[in-house]
Amino acid sequence: MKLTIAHLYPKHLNIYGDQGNLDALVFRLKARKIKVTVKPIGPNDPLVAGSFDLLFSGGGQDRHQLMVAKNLLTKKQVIKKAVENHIPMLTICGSYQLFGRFFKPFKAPKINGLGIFDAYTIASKQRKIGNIIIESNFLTPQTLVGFENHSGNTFLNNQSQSLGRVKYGIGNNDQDKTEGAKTKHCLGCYLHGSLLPRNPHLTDWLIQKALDNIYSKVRLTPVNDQLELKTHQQIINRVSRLRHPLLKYFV
Amino acid sequence: MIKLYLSLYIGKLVNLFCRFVPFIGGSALPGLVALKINPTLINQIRLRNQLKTIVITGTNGKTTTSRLTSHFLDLAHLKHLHNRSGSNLLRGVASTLINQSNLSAKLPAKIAIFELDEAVVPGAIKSLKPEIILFTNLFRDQLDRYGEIDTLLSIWQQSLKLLPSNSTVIYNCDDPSLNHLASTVKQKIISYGLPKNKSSKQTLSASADAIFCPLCHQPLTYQVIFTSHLGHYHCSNCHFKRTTPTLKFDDINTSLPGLHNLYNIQAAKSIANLLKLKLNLNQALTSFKPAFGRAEKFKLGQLYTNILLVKNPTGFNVTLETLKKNNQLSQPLLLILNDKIADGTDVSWIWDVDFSLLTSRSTPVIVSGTRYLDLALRLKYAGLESSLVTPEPKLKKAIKLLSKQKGEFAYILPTYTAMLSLRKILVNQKLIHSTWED
Repeated sequence: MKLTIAHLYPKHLNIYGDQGNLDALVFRLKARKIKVTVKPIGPNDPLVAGSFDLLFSGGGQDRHQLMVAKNLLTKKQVIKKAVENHIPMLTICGSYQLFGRFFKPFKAPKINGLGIFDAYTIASKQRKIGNIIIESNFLTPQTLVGFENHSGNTFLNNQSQSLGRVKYGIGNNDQDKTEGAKTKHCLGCYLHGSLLPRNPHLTDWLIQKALDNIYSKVRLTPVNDQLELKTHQQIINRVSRLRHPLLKYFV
Repeated sequence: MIKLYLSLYIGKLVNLFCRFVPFIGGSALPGLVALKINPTLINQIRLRNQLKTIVITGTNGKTTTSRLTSHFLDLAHLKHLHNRSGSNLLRGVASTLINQSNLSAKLPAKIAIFELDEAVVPGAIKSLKPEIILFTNLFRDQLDRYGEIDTLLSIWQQSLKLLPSNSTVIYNCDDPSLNHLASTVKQKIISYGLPKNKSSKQTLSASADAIFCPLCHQPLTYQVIFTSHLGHYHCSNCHFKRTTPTLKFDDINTSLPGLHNLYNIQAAKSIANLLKLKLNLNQALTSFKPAFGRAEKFKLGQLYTNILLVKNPTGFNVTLETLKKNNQLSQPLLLILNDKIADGTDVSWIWDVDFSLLTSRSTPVIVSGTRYLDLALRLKYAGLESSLVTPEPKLKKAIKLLSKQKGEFAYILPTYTAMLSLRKILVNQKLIHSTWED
């Protein structure tokens, strides 16, 4: 079996250890003897329809995000089609925002997004920084752990599904306790950390969906997850211990 | 005036109190309290003493640079103040001033060196009116506190407008962001950098952040790269390029390891030149002792052990590369990762460190700290077999494990608060002296 991952804008969107997500995908594919190719797609590279089985894109500084926003629109049709074809995707922070309908910065005009997620983001003065734990309804275990660091507030429109409910942290915005978005197999969220190494069940979900598209109903061989799940649990334990705002100065 | 004395005396009382309650250990608390009572305290004491100030800031190298500068001033018998104990926020400045001034707010020196956190620059320029301000570099560090590099850079740019016109700005011109920052400065500028032949690297590492032209946002072209995004660069799209350093580079023999220390030496030298100090650089460097946690050495069992502080991906990568260059990558190694406030609560930066250098080891790497499992996981994904990683959350046990490993040298790489805990244990075991002040 083989699989191709498109990595969108690796030079522009690569903040907060986003590389770890690709490392995790590649690691778990190789552990199962599945051949994997990672294709970096920069602003000048075409994104060819049907040339990828999984797509990843990370976050970046505001300046870098603006630089790719326009370019992303030229790839809109290919990405939209791939989402409709159930290609799994993971977009984090900056790219998550650009996969929504629009992003409204402070002083600049609205930036149009792809509209894959029926959601929009508005810049805010309050930066949301800290550990975050959410509970999804399509994964086992249900929890996802990460670290959020964003100033944008994302709001989901009525019809769209979130990635999960916030158990600890802030999430999409400071109002509705939702985090991330999900359209078919395309996921978006604010979880850095890196996300995938510490959430192996999510990594496998993405891999499973990608392989199912190519080979129809594949049974993933289990890989040794002890360290990953132990880390996952340790973060949950540590975060619950730090729940009191003053405790973080002492523990 | 009453406010000045009131805040000064209360600060001094808090200081006294801190000495008797050692676990507070806070060199910042007196300043914190005094500034709450009197926010203009720093400015008032500075004016009263006509104090000349030197501010040193940037992501990496500020502690070593300011210690070197202080050492140079010592050798020139120039009496000065220095916020040595590592509290590099304005409250640390205030603490130093409170500590050093007498009851009529008079200081024993006319010149002061302040090592300051990147985010404090605006406040420092306002209250200290520095004669000299030096920027070492700007990397990803503790983004959880500051948000983004661009944000920080524009804050610096704004606050430099308030710098007195007779001040001097010193900067590292191998850093594109700083080069850009300096191009907007109206005051006198001095730049330093490394010559081409100091480089051994060809490619940009994953954590390189400022690889785009600050003017036209196209990717920069590098002729040589020293570390992360520091190097000789130009933009092939517009006129932006590295300026030629105004400071002459001379080759020096130093026991301080790594390229980052070459930068620190250049930085301190440019301050010494500006102050017209008479200095034999080679001699001055031989008598220099690095700060705690920065290349500190002690004997652990049979092992000559080094503590090398790591705070961010760039610093971590430089440290690993230095170990590689000196064939030390297979020696006993302990990594400690904490996620307390002073370390940065976000540990995702370890995914930007190139740990694949460690895959050729035969003895396990010991990992400890509040986030020891994150480190273990990181090493696993860098390609280290599980037999090559020993997770041990208890630091005391981890040190013991390290002492039993075979080798000639050993290396401990802790984050900031991990280093403080490490020192406490080592002091208790009488392996190092308690030298907080020095």
